[in-house]
Amino acid sequence: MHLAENTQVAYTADATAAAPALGSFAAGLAAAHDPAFIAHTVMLGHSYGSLVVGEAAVRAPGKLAQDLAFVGSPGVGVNKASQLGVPADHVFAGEAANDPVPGLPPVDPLLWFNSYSAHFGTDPATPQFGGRDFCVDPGKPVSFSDPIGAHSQYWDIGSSSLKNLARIVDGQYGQVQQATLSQPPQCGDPGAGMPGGPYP
Amino acid sequence: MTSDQVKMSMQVSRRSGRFLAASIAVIIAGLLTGCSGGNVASHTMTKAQATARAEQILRKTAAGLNPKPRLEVNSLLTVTDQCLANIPNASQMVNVAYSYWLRGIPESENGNIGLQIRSYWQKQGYRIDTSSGFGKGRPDISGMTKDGFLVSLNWSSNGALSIGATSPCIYPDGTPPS
Repeated sequence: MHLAENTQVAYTADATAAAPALGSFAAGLAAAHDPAFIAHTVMLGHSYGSLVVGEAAVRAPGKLAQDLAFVGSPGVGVNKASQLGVPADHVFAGEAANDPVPGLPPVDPLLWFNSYSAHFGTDPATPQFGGRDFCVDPGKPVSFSDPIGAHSQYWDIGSSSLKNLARIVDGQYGQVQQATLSQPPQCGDPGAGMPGGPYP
Repeated sequence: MTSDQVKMSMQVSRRSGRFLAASIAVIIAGLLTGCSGGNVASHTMTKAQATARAEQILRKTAAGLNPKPRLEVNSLLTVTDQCLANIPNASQMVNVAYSYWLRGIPESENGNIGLQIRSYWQKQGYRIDTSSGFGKGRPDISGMTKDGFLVSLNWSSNGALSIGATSPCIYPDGTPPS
Protein backbone atom coordinates (compact mmCIF):
# COMPACT_ATOMS: atom_id res chain seq x y z
CA MET A 1 0.00 0.00 0.00
CA HIS A 2 1.42 3.37 -0.93
CA LEU A 3 0.90 5.77 1.91
CA ALA A 4 1.84 8.77 -0.18
CA GLU A 5 -1.02 8.11 -2.56
CA ASN A 6 -3.49 7.68 0.27
CA THR A 7 -2.82 10.73 2.39
CA GLN A 8 -5.90 12.30 0.78
CA VAL A 9 -8.07 10.80 3.51
CA ALA A 10 -6.52 13.19 6.02
CA TYR A 11 -8.11 16.09 4.16
CA THR A 12 -11.60 17.14 3.22
CA ALA A 13 -10.87 17.75 -0.48
CA ASP A 14 -11.95 14.30 -1.69
CA ALA A 15 -15.13 14.43 0.37
CA THR A 16 -15.91 17.90 -0.94
CA ALA A 17 -15.41 16.65 -4.47
CA ALA A 18 -17.57 13.58 -3.91
CA ALA A 19 -20.46 15.24 -2.10
CA PRO A 20 -22.26 16.64 -5.17
CA ALA A 21 -22.26 13.21 -6.80
CA LEU A 22 -23.81 11.67 -3.70
CA GLY A 23 -26.38 14.44 -3.66
CA SER A 24 -27.25 13.75 -7.29
CA PHE A 25 -27.64 10.08 -6.54
CA ALA A 26 -30.03 10.82 -3.69
CA ALA A 27 -31.97 13.24 -5.85
CA GLY A 28 -32.26 10.57 -8.50
CA LEU A 29 -33.68 8.12 -5.99
CA ALA A 30 -36.22 10.67 -4.88
CA ALA A 31 -37.22 11.44 -8.45
CA ALA A 32 -37.64 7.78 -9.32
CA HIS A 33 -39.67 7.01 -6.22
CA ASP A 34 -43.27 5.97 -6.73
CA PRO A 35 -45.29 8.36 -4.57
CA ALA A 36 -47.91 5.66 -3.99
CA PHE A 37 -45.51 4.08 -1.50
CA ILE A 38 -44.12 5.69 1.63
CA ALA A 39 -40.34 5.69 1.49
CA HIS A 40 -37.96 5.88 4.39
CA THR A 41 -34.50 6.87 3.31
CA VAL A 42 -31.44 6.33 5.46
CA MET A 43 -27.94 7.29 4.42
CA LEU A 44 -25.20 5.40 6.17
CA GLY A 45 -21.63 6.65 6.24
CA HIS A 46 -18.66 4.63 7.45
CA SER A 47 -15.25 6.12 8.21
CA TYR A 48 -14.23 8.71 5.59
CA GLY A 49 -17.58 8.02 3.93
CA SER A 50 -19.27 9.65 6.89
CA LEU A 51 -17.54 12.91 5.95
CA VAL A 52 -18.79 12.54 2.37
CA VAL A 53 -22.33 12.05 3.68
CA GLY A 54 -21.97 15.02 6.03
CA GLU A 55 -20.77 17.31 3.26
CA ALA A 56 -23.56 16.16 0.95
CA ALA A 57 -26.15 16.68 3.70
CA VAL A 58 -24.99 20.25 4.27
CA ARG A 59 -25.25 20.98 0.54
CA ALA A 60 -28.79 19.61 0.25
CA PRO A 61 -30.50 20.28 3.58
CA GLY A 62 -33.36 17.87 4.15
CA LYS A 63 -32.98 16.36 0.70
CA LEU A 64 -30.28 13.75 1.09
CA ALA A 65 -32.14 11.32 3.35
CA GLN A 66 -34.55 11.34 6.28
CA ASP A 67 -32.06 9.69 8.60
CA LEU A 68 -28.30 9.85 8.67
CA ALA A 69 -26.25 7.18 10.42
CA PHE A 70 -22.50 7.23 10.94
CA VAL A 71 -20.25 4.44 12.11
CA GLY A 72 -16.54 4.70 12.85
CA SER A 73 -16.57 8.36 11.94
CA PRO A 74 -13.54 10.66 12.13
CA GLY A 75 -15.97 13.57 11.93
CA VAL A 76 -18.62 14.59 9.43
CA GLY A 77 -17.51 18.14 8.72
CA VAL A 78 -19.80 20.00 11.15
CA ASN A 79 -19.97 20.58 14.89
CA LYS A 80 -23.69 20.02 15.45
CA ALA A 81 -26.19 17.42 14.23
CA SER A 82 -28.63 20.23 13.54
CA GLN A 83 -26.26 21.56 10.85
CA LEU A 84 -26.87 18.50 8.68
CA GLY A 85 -30.27 19.62 7.45
CA VAL A 86 -32.33 16.99 9.26
CA PRO A 87 -33.74 17.05 12.79
CA ALA A 88 -30.99 16.21 15.25
CA ASP A 89 -32.93 13.18 16.51
CA HIS A 90 -32.64 11.70 13.02
CA VAL A 91 -28.85 11.72 13.16
CA PHE A 92 -27.28 8.57 14.62
CA ALA A 93 -23.69 7.66 15.32
CA GLY A 94 -22.01 4.54 16.61
CA GLU A 95 -18.36 4.16 17.53
CA ALA A 96 -16.69 1.01 18.77
CA ALA A 97 -14.66 1.59 21.91
CA ASN A 98 -11.65 -0.09 20.27
CA ASP A 99 -11.91 1.73 16.94
CA PRO A 100 -9.07 4.27 16.78
CA VAL A 101 -10.46 6.16 13.78
CA PRO A 102 -12.96 8.32 15.70
CA GLY A 103 -10.10 9.30 18.00
CA LEU A 104 -7.91 10.72 15.26
CA PRO A 105 -6.87 14.17 16.43
CA PRO A 106 -8.02 17.52 15.06
CA VAL A 107 -5.43 19.41 13.06
CA ASP A 108 -5.72 22.31 15.51
CA PRO A 109 -3.66 21.40 18.60
CA LEU A 110 -5.88 23.62 20.74
CA LEU A 111 -8.64 21.05 20.26
CA TRP A 112 -6.58 17.98 21.03
CA PHE A 113 -7.45 17.59 24.67
CA ASN A 114 -11.17 18.21 24.87
CA SER A 115 -13.56 15.28 24.90
CA TYR A 116 -15.46 15.97 21.70
CA SER A 117 -13.31 17.28 18.85
CA ALA A 118 -12.58 14.82 16.06
CA HIS A 119 -10.45 15.22 12.99
CA PHE A 120 -13.24 16.61 10.79
CA GLY A 121 -15.36 18.56 13.27
CA THR A 122 -17.11 17.45 16.43
CA ASP A 123 -17.28 13.71 17.02
CA PRO A 124 -20.86 12.77 16.01
CA ALA A 125 -21.12 10.27 18.87
CA THR A 126 -20.60 12.87 21.61
CA PRO A 127 -23.29 14.71 23.59
CA GLN A 128 -21.82 18.00 22.29
CA PHE A 129 -22.76 17.02 18.74
CA GLY A 130 -26.40 16.62 19.72
CA GLY A 131 -27.24 13.54 17.68
CA ARG A 132 -28.06 10.05 18.93
CA ASP A 133 -25.18 7.90 20.06
CA PHE A 134 -26.19 4.27 19.57
CA CYS A 135 -24.59 1.25 21.13
CA VAL A 136 -22.02 -0.86 19.33
CA ASP A 137 -19.77 -3.66 20.62
CA PRO A 138 -16.22 -2.71 21.59
CA GLY A 139 -14.63 -4.77 18.80
CA LYS A 140 -11.15 -6.21 18.58
CA PRO A 141 -8.63 -4.40 20.78
CA VAL A 142 -5.98 -2.37 18.98
CA SER A 143 -2.86 -4.43 18.47
CA PHE A 144 0.28 -3.89 16.47
CA SER A 145 -0.69 -6.58 14.00
CA ASP A 146 -4.33 -5.48 13.73
CA PRO A 147 -4.55 -1.80 14.55
CA ILE A 148 -8.01 -1.09 13.21
CA GLY A 149 -9.83 -4.41 13.48
CA ALA A 150 -12.74 -2.85 15.36
CA HIS A 151 -13.17 -0.33 12.52
CA SER A 152 -14.43 -3.10 10.23
CA GLN A 153 -16.79 -4.86 12.61
CA TYR A 154 -19.87 -2.68 12.38
CA TRP A 155 -21.62 -5.24 10.13
CA ASP A 156 -20.74 -8.42 12.01
CA ILE A 157 -23.90 -10.55 12.05
CA GLY A 158 -25.28 -10.64 15.58
CA SER A 159 -23.37 -7.55 16.65
CA SER A 160 -25.01 -4.72 18.56
CA SER A 161 -23.99 -2.39 15.76
CA LEU A 162 -25.80 -4.32 13.06
CA LYS A 163 -28.89 -4.78 15.21
CA ASN A 164 -29.14 -1.09 15.96
CA LEU A 165 -28.47 -0.08 12.36
CA ALA A 166 -31.30 -2.41 11.34
CA ARG A 167 -33.61 -0.72 13.84
CA ILE A 168 -32.66 2.71 12.48
CA VAL A 169 -33.22 1.61 8.88
CA ASP A 170 -36.57 0.11 9.83
CA GLY A 171 -37.60 3.27 11.66
CA GLN A 172 -37.80 1.47 15.01
CA TYR A 173 -36.25 4.42 16.78
CA GLY A 174 -37.76 3.41 20.11
CA GLN A 175 -35.84 0.13 20.00
CA VAL A 176 -32.42 1.56 19.20
CA GLN A 177 -30.07 0.98 22.13
CA GLN A 178 -28.37 4.07 23.40
CA ALA A 179 -24.69 3.97 24.22
CA THR A 180 -24.12 4.97 27.80
CA LEU A 181 -21.44 7.47 28.73
CA SER A 182 -19.54 4.95 30.83
CA GLN A 183 -16.09 3.88 29.76
CA PRO A 184 -16.25 1.58 27.94
CA PRO A 185 -19.77 2.44 26.78
CA GLN A 186 -22.45 -0.10 27.63
CA CYS A 187 -25.64 -0.79 25.76
CA GLY A 188 -28.83 0.63 27.10
CA ASP A 189 -31.90 -1.54 27.02
CA PRO A 190 -33.67 -1.95 23.71
CA GLY A 191 -36.63 0.34 23.76
CA ALA A 192 -35.40 2.60 26.52
CA GLY A 193 -34.41 6.22 26.18
CA MET A 194 -34.75 6.71 22.44
CA PRO A 195 -38.05 8.52 22.03
CA GLY A 196 -39.88 8.49 18.77
CA GLY A 197 -42.09 5.94 17.14
CA PRO A 198 -42.31 4.69 13.57
CA TYR A 199 -41.23 7.32 11.09
CA PRO A 200 -44.04 9.40 9.68
CA MET B 1 -0.47 2.05 14.96
CA THR B 2 -1.24 2.12 18.68
CA SER B 3 -2.65 5.21 20.38
CA ASP B 4 0.67 5.61 22.23
CA GLN B 5 2.52 5.82 18.94
CA VAL B 6 0.01 8.36 17.67
CA LYS B 7 0.52 10.52 20.78
CA MET B 8 4.30 10.28 20.44
CA SER B 9 4.10 11.42 16.85
CA MET B 10 2.06 14.42 17.87
CA GLN B 11 4.64 15.50 20.48
CA VAL B 12 7.60 15.21 18.12
CA SER B 13 5.83 17.10 15.35
CA ARG B 14 5.16 20.30 17.27
CA ARG B 15 8.28 21.75 15.70
CA SER B 16 6.60 22.75 12.48
CA GLY B 17 2.99 23.01 11.42
CA ARG B 18 3.71 21.46 8.05
CA PHE B 19 5.51 18.45 9.52
CA LEU B 20 2.65 18.02 11.98
CA ALA B 21 0.04 18.03 9.26
CA ALA B 22 2.06 15.61 7.18
CA SER B 23 2.64 13.11 9.96
CA ILE B 24 -0.97 13.25 10.98
CA ALA B 25 -1.79 12.63 7.36
CA VAL B 26 0.47 9.62 7.21
CA ILE B 27 -0.98 8.18 10.39
CA ILE B 28 -4.49 8.83 9.23
CA ALA B 29 -3.74 7.41 5.82
CA GLY B 30 -2.43 4.29 7.44
CA LEU B 31 -5.47 3.95 9.64
CA LEU B 32 -8.23 5.04 7.32
CA THR B 33 -7.12 3.22 4.22
CA GLY B 34 -6.17 0.21 6.26
CA CYS B 35 -2.67 -1.12 6.09
CA SER B 36 -3.78 -4.71 6.17
CA GLY B 37 -3.10 -6.05 9.62
CA GLY B 38 -2.23 -9.54 10.71
CA ASN B 39 -0.42 -12.42 9.13
CA VAL B 40 -1.83 -14.28 6.15
CA ALA B 41 -3.83 -17.21 7.48
CA SER B 42 -2.55 -20.40 5.90
CA HIS B 43 -5.54 -22.47 6.89
CA THR B 44 -8.82 -22.09 8.73
CA MET B 45 -11.94 -24.07 9.48
CA THR B 46 -13.89 -25.01 6.38
CA LYS B 47 -17.33 -23.65 5.80
CA ALA B 48 -18.84 -27.01 6.78
CA GLN B 49 -16.83 -27.10 9.98
CA ALA B 50 -17.76 -23.54 10.86
CA THR B 51 -21.44 -24.27 10.26
CA ALA B 52 -21.25 -27.36 12.46
CA ARG B 53 -19.45 -25.46 15.18
CA ALA B 54 -21.96 -22.60 15.13
CA GLU B 55 -24.83 -25.02 15.31
CA GLN B 56 -23.18 -26.86 18.18
CA ILE B 57 -22.72 -23.66 20.16
CA LEU B 58 -26.38 -22.78 19.76
CA ARG B 59 -27.80 -26.24 20.43
CA LYS B 60 -25.76 -26.58 23.59
CA THR B 61 -26.90 -23.14 24.68
CA ALA B 62 -30.53 -24.05 24.22
CA ALA B 63 -30.27 -27.54 25.71
CA GLY B 64 -30.12 -26.40 29.31
CA LEU B 65 -32.77 -23.71 29.19
CA ASN B 66 -35.92 -23.83 31.27
CA PRO B 67 -38.51 -23.54 29.79
CA LYS B 68 -36.91 -25.44 26.94
CA PRO B 69 -37.40 -23.76 23.58
CA ARG B 70 -38.12 -25.37 20.25
CA LEU B 71 -35.40 -24.38 17.81
CA GLU B 72 -36.39 -23.04 14.42
CA VAL B 73 -33.75 -21.86 11.97
CA ASN B 74 -33.80 -18.08 11.65
CA SER B 75 -33.17 -17.81 7.93
CA LEU B 76 -32.61 -14.05 8.01
CA LEU B 77 -29.54 -14.48 10.19
CA THR B 78 -28.34 -17.80 8.78
CA VAL B 79 -26.15 -16.57 5.98
CA THR B 80 -22.62 -16.73 4.69
CA ASP B 81 -21.17 -13.34 3.85
CA GLN B 82 -17.88 -12.07 2.57
CA CYS B 83 -15.33 -11.25 5.23
CA LEU B 84 -15.10 -7.50 5.79
CA ALA B 85 -12.26 -7.58 8.28
CA ASN B 86 -9.10 -5.66 7.57
CA ILE B 87 -6.86 -8.73 7.13
CA PRO B 88 -4.89 -10.15 4.22
CA ASN B 89 -6.99 -12.30 1.88
CA ALA B 90 -10.24 -10.97 3.33
CA SER B 91 -11.84 -10.93 -0.11
CA GLN B 92 -11.24 -14.68 -0.34
CA MET B 93 -12.77 -15.38 3.06
CA VAL B 94 -16.26 -15.60 4.49
CA ASN B 95 -18.13 -15.39 7.77
CA VAL B 96 -20.63 -18.16 8.47
CA ALA B 97 -23.60 -17.06 10.56
CA TYR B 98 -26.17 -19.43 12.05
CA SER B 99 -29.23 -18.52 14.06
CA TYR B 100 -32.20 -20.16 15.75
CA TRP B 101 -35.47 -18.68 16.90
CA LEU B 102 -36.32 -19.80 20.43
CA ARG B 103 -39.92 -20.84 19.93
CA GLY B 104 -42.42 -21.59 22.63
CA ILE B 105 -40.99 -19.20 25.22
CA PRO B 106 -43.71 -17.09 26.83
CA GLU B 107 -42.77 -13.40 26.67
CA SER B 108 -42.95 -13.24 30.44
CA GLU B 109 -39.98 -15.64 30.53
CA ASN B 110 -37.80 -13.62 28.15
CA GLY B 111 -35.73 -11.95 30.85
CA ASN B 112 -35.27 -15.20 32.74
CA ILE B 113 -34.16 -16.99 29.56
CA GLY B 114 -31.75 -14.15 28.87
CA LEU B 115 -30.17 -14.49 32.28
CA GLN B 116 -29.81 -18.25 31.83
CA ILE B 117 -28.11 -17.78 28.48
CA ARG B 118 -25.73 -15.18 29.82
CA SER B 119 -24.88 -17.41 32.76
CA TYR B 120 -24.25 -20.41 30.48
CA TRP B 121 -22.02 -18.41 28.15
CA GLN B 122 -20.05 -17.04 31.05
CA LYS B 123 -19.55 -20.57 32.37
CA GLN B 124 -18.21 -21.59 28.95
CA GLY B 125 -15.63 -18.83 29.24
CA TYR B 126 -17.17 -16.70 26.53
CA ARG B 127 -16.44 -13.00 26.71
CA ILE B 128 -19.65 -11.02 27.27
CA ASP B 129 -19.33 -7.65 25.51
CA THR B 130 -22.79 -6.20 26.01
CA SER B 131 -25.84 -7.35 27.89
CA SER B 132 -28.98 -5.45 28.73
CA GLY B 133 -32.74 -5.55 28.86
CA PHE B 134 -33.25 -8.46 31.25
CA GLY B 135 -35.44 -6.54 33.64
CA LYS B 136 -37.70 -5.41 30.83
CA GLY B 137 -38.12 -8.74 29.10
CA ARG B 138 -36.02 -7.54 26.16
CA PRO B 139 -32.76 -9.38 26.72
CA ASP B 140 -29.91 -8.54 24.39
CA ILE B 141 -26.42 -10.02 24.61
CA SER B 142 -23.38 -10.03 22.39
CA GLY B 143 -20.17 -11.81 23.14
CA MET B 144 -17.37 -13.95 21.79
CA THR B 145 -16.34 -17.58 22.26
CA LYS B 146 -12.76 -18.58 22.83
CA ASP B 147 -12.51 -19.76 19.20
CA GLY B 148 -13.62 -16.40 17.87
CA PHE B 149 -17.33 -16.99 17.20
CA LEU B 150 -19.52 -13.95 17.86
CA VAL B 151 -22.53 -15.08 19.90
CA SER B 152 -25.68 -13.08 20.32
CA LEU B 153 -29.07 -13.18 21.95
CA ASN B 154 -31.46 -10.97 20.04
CA TRP B 155 -34.82 -9.61 21.06
CA SER B 156 -37.22 -8.80 18.23
CA SER B 157 -39.92 -6.20 18.60
CA ASN B 158 -42.64 -8.88 18.42
CA GLY B 159 -41.22 -10.39 21.58
CA ALA B 160 -39.47 -13.33 19.95
CA LEU B 161 -35.95 -14.28 20.95
CA SER B 162 -33.24 -15.67 18.72
CA ILE B 163 -29.69 -16.78 19.35
CA GLY B 164 -26.91 -16.58 16.80
CA ALA B 165 -23.30 -17.58 16.29
CA THR B 166 -21.07 -16.05 13.63
CA SER B 167 -17.71 -17.55 12.71
CA PRO B 168 -14.54 -15.57 12.32
CA CYS B 169 -13.28 -15.07 8.77
CA ILE B 170 -12.53 -18.43 7.18
CA TYR B 171 -11.59 -19.79 3.76
CA PRO B 172 -14.57 -21.79 2.46
CA ASP B 173 -12.34 -24.77 1.78
CA GLY B 174 -10.06 -24.15 4.70
CA THR B 175 -7.10 -22.96 2.62
CA PRO B 176 -6.54 -19.95 0.37
CA PRO B 177 -7.88 -20.48 -3.13
CA SER B 178 -4.93 -21.18 -5.44
